Amino acid sequence: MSLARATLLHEWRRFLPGLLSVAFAGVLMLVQLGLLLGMFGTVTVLVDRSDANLWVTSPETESFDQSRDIPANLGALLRLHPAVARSETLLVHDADWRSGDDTRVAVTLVGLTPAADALACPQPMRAALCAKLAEPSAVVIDRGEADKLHTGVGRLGEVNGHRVRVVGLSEGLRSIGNTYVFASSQTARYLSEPPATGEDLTTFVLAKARSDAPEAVRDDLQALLHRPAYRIWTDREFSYNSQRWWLTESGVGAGFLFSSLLGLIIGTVITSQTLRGVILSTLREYATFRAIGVPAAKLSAVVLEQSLWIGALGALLTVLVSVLANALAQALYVPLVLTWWAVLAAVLIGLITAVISGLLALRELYRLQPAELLR
Amino acid sequence: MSRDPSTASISATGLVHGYGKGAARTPVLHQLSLQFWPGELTLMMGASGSGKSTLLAILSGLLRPESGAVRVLDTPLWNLGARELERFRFRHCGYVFQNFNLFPALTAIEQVALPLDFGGVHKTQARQRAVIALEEVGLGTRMNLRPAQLSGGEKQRVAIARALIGSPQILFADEPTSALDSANSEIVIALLQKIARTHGATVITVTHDPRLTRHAERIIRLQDGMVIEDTLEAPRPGPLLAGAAPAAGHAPPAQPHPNSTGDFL
Repeated sequence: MSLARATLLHEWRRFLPGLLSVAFAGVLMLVQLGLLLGMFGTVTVLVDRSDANLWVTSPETESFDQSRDIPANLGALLRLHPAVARSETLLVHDADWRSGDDTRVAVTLVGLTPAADALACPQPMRAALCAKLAEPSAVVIDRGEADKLHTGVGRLGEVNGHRVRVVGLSEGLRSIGNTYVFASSQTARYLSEPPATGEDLTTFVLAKARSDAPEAVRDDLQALLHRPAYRIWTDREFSYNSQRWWLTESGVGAGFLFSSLLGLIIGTVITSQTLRGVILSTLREYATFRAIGVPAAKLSAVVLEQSLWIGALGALLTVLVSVLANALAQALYVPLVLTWWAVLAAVLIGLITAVISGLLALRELYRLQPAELLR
Repeated sequence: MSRDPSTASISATGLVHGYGKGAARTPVLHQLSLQFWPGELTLMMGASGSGKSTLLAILSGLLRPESGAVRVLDTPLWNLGARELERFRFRHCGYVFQNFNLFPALTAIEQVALPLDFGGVHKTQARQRAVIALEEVGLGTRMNLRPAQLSGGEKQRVAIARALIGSPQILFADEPTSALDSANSEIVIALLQKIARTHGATVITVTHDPRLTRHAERIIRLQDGMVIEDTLEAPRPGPLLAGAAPAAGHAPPAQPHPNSTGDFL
């Protein structure tokens, strides 16, 4: 067995803080990133989970939560394009919820076509819930938000002072801001405050292009609709742009980067101090080998091998803990997204952290004068 | 045993060394010149601060003297570059230190094979040579124990086996018995003596321990960086050397060494 591995096994208690700090920094980063992705995912959940691949918004819109009302009859115009199979409207308005026990909560009212195959019907509601919305005054809310609204299936509440009945609970449709209350377009219009005026307005017009590459259809339609008045996106573009806006403009992304960096710095400092402690405790032995004539580079390889093991074991622990955290989050309906690329990045960063720590600790070896053994 | 200067394995000439600079400088060695021969165990003795450890560090290629020259095996040691000096030490020198300096995680056989591992020798061959070295120091049955399971004397014998594994022509030992009881000290010094005799190695040992003198061929006493006494002894065989006859040609006890040219002489 190599000196590095033999020492790791024999003195595992000494190495443990370094290993745990690498794992902690990795978990901190992965869970934060997961929560961030989960949170940003909630911004665009209605875009990502819908069946539409073209979205029309007001021109100044940068993110899903910012669109102003546009004419609902744009849908008819979209259908003029031969590649557009269907179009629909999606109404998203702020509203006021009041539960049976008089709890008042600000909510976001979502009005969509009440059919299982509706373009706007989010994937988790397709099986049964969208069709149930056809009932007058029926609403659906997410299971993760039911406690917040003090309600449940079959219970009554009020939206903007009008009575509604909860006909079902969706899953995985939480919102970054106010709770979504899903209703049919008709119910939503009726519940909206102020009530819809003469012009038939909606928040989004959605369409489904037959082609697998909706970009060409988008360009055609943009030419038709005049850019200054409306903006037309593919679903991927709209989702990506909304999440990027939240990452760069909202300050949340900077907070994530800062705390991840802090975690990494703390991890590096603890790991390098751990390795330094181990080197210092065996400095006389290393000095003996320097005296024998073993070059410092070969002894450095021992320390770097130890660093790599710490990094690899720390990264493994990161993955295990993150998978557990992910399972826990899913069980508690907390939007946390663990992606393979984030896990891979965390593993690589763990290894790099450990190697940098090892390199920092090597200073002790290079400072070493074997003649000091003879003082 | 020849006293011909041309057959000396180590020749030091005009060594000067001190610590600190300017007014704070403390001189340690004053124009010291000494020679050492193969097959001899030399003890360097003296009070703390007499310069014996500094002298050992300079002779062994670990500390560059302020001035003076050291030739080891006809190589001018301090003319070598850092990398060449490392290579020279690796090929020709062995070291035994006061505190054994064994890695706590390694078994005796792993400790002894480690220098060869670093030298790129194949693992199986390194282990075979480690077994031989450990058997030579009488630890053939303790090879798989870690330092925590060995007595002080056994640890020092592992350290000696580690120093022996590269078949060094020169062996430097710094206070090898100071952490040991008298029985273990006897074993260790007898081993060093045996290495000088049977391997023809030049063994230089720094020590405070007067019990060791009866095993040495030569005793050099230092005081304030100068040689105050350089005598040839007739060593008596130690417990491990029973039956081994003293080498012919040894000078009688307490005879001044003819080839030392320390300042004092």
